[in-house]
Amino acid sequence: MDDLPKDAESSNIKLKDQIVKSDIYKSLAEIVGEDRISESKLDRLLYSHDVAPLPKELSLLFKIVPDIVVKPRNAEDVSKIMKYAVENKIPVTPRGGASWTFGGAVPAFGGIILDMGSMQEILEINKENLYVTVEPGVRWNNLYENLLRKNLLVGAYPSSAPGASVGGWVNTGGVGIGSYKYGGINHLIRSLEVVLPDGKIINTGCKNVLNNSSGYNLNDIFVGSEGTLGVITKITLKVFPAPEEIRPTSYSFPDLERVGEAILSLTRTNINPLHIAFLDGSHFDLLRELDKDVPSVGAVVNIFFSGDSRIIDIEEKKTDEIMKNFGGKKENKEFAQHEWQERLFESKARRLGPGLVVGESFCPVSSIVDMIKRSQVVLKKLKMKGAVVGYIADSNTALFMSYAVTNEHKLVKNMASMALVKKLADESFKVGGRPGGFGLLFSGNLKKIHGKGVYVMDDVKTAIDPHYIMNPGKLIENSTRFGIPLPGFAMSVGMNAMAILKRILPADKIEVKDNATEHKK
Amino acid sequence: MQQSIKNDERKPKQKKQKIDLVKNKPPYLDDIYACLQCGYCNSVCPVYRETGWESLTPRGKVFLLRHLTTKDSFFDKILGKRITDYLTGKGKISLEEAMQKIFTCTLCSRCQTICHVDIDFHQYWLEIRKWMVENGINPPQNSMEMYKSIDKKEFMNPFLEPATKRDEWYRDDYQLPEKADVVYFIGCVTSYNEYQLLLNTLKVFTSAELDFTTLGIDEMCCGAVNTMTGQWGNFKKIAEYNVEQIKKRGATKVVTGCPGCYRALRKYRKFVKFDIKILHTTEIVADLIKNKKLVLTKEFKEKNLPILYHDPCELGRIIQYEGKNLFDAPRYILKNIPGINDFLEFSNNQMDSICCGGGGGLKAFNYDLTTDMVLRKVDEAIELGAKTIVSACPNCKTQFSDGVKLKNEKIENSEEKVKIKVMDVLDIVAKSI
Repeated sequence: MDDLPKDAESSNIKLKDQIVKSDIYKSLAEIVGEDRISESKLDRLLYSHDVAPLPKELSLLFKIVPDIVVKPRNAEDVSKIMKYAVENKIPVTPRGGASWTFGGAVPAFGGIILDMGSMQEILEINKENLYVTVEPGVRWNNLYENLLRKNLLVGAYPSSAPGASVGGWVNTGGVGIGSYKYGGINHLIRSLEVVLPDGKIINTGCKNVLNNSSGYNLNDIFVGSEGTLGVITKITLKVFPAPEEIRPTSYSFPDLERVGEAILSLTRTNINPLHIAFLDGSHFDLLRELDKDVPSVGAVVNIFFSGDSRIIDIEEKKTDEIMKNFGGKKENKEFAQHEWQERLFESKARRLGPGLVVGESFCPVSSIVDMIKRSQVVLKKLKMKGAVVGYIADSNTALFMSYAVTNEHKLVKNMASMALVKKLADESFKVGGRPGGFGLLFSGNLKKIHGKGVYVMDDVKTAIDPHYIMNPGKLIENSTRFGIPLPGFAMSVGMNAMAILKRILPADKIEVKDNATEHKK
Repeated sequence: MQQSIKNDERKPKQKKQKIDLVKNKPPYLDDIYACLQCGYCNSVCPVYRETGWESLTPRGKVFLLRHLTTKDSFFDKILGKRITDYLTGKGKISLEEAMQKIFTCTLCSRCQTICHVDIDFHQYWLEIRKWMVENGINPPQNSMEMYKSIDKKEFMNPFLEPATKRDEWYRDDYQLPEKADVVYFIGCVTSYNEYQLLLNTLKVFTSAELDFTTLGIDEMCCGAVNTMTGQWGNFKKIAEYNVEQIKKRGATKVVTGCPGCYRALRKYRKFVKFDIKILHTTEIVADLIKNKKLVLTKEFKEKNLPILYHDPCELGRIIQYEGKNLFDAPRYILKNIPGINDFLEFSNNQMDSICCGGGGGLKAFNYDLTTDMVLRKVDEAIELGAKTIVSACPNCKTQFSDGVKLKNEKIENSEEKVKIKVMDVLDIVAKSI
């Protein structure tokens, strides 16, 4: 820090920075011990990103590198840290698995990173009352496997299960694989242990029974809060008896629009599969570029059933008929099994860029065909190579997770590619849906979705976190590091400019370099 | 005092050598950029499970490498690097620290099983370490000392043990021929630390009337430690020396009980002409049992049942990645031991087996971390109700023995102490002869 240029920022700030920093370290070390805390630049850098490839230039707008990283052990630690942070007005950003693409766990104003991902114990598996209590850092695949060994099933899990933490999924209000049958995370939570910004530790529900009686439902306030209201330190989820069988089936179609029609028809019956996913043929084309052994198809829909084998038999037969009506051809068991194993690995095409942008948006199943067409047009207009993929979250919600390959080595083109997220979000509004998360860049959409409801959200935030230290810069208050607010329309103007730029720039090409797979031969 | 003088001597050298990681690109640069940063690897990394630091996960390490090797960005060029670094909070990081993070890994390659973009981590980490050392970033002090110890004629092993002591456990009891069909390459860990396993292996081979011999005091460390810590400087020399010794014995096969040696011997082929068949002891013993050359009669003691098999990373997953299946041989042997009808498995086994902590040279560098890792395994063994933990790797055996010992040290009540035996597959075979 000694060799800082003087003209960068006034020396006052530099001095303040230094004093505050060392003070933070000393005080926090007293709480958690020196081995659970780090302020080395190397460690801090690693907490300045998530899956989204944020360009270095973005950190001119936001202070995405935290000042200190802390690994708390339990709620008491977090409580003490929160009290300290409030006293000194230091921003606190809780972080789980950091497997989201919106930068929700990336600080906007530096400060303290609470690495909740390091709290990975499964505390209690209660078979009698069908619940499991876990620490927030437990990864979904580990929870899934551990429960399956005890003949239990976690209802739904994210499509990034190995990377996503339970706490993170609560904070992003996730839906995922199994949501069609069991609902999103909000349907699975029995109770949460939350540390509020003032240091209070509360339990939000009852671990044995539903929360559906009168009284404000505190569980749901924290679902999708992106860490802006408190730090979740324990989660109790309801679990289900493991099914007799999980049976994947796959159908191939001439094109994705037919898939949309078939899915619409299927969701209007009483067939209740575990999961319905659809994939554009171009997804398989991209995989073939990576030398993967996948067939050339127009589009694929994967339907996973779970439950008693005899009931699945009936459901499968009925599904076969529906799919056949829309021109679907049933693929063999090996293909379906392969698709089941690949259900968590949908972003392999990144290697082709290298780079990947994912646009997450919800749309009504009733207009799924419309949205499919629109998404394909967006990809075409932006001259990007990608695929329209997604899954059905409930009987009238389709979650589109369309992606496109970019090239991170090309600054301008890569930045312009971010326009895909915005454009897909716009299309989802047009068909009566909504974009996925907000995170660091897209909180402007919040008002578009909730209207005046945002003021109520603001009131809730102010009541719980009057000092605005819990993950500031997310959801409610969107501004850059120098206090310049970033209103939704400015963001959208910027994003539209990028979209225009992307349309002017030459089309994306994918070149598979020889040396990329050199050592695999 | 001696150390400080050494350090002083080294410093001016380092200054002359300017480390330019951007220019001297690492191998597999495409993998570094292909990484999605999805963090799937975090969920399987045993080091992350114990430490919880992002910097010790495969994802974090790849991010570090990306940071170290990235060219100046657009704003670096117009604003100047120092100003941009200050504004963005990014910029230079300590290479020493980065090295420590990258070396805190047991090279178990479990991350490869789940990698979203198919990075060949079992090769990748070795190549990155090699690249770091080549660029003048020194590996941890201990591993440099191991390297020197192997290089010295009076030791020829990483543990600073005299070379003349290598055969002291068996030279009086076994009169081995000078020339034989099979050479038993013992390995340093077995020679110096796991003598029980050494004696048992000799017993098995003798009772099967195998035409075999050892390299005796002429055996040199296989060099696995060097390849793991990126110090490839003397590997060719080691390969030439050991191959010459093996050829001198007129052997057509070389067999070793140590998966580390097994893989290192396979690597010799890249450096010297070495067309002798390389086998692991479990392979040869499984064959001997199949061909009824080895007759097992004694029943395995019932009080030591059930047994629990642990897949060593190098004998299982990593060898599988290198194109050979060695999951079945040890299991075949266990099934054919009288008195063992069935055996337990860890809930994560075969390709998904979790490292015991003994690999990758991490033990020399961060012992406490490796004990945390093995204690978790021991806890699982207790939960599964195992009375014997069996493995097929001397490193795993040492590690599990230490783990059980440590577990018992923590238990004050003598009645509650854990009674778990730790054995190698070959130990069990020897017992039932």
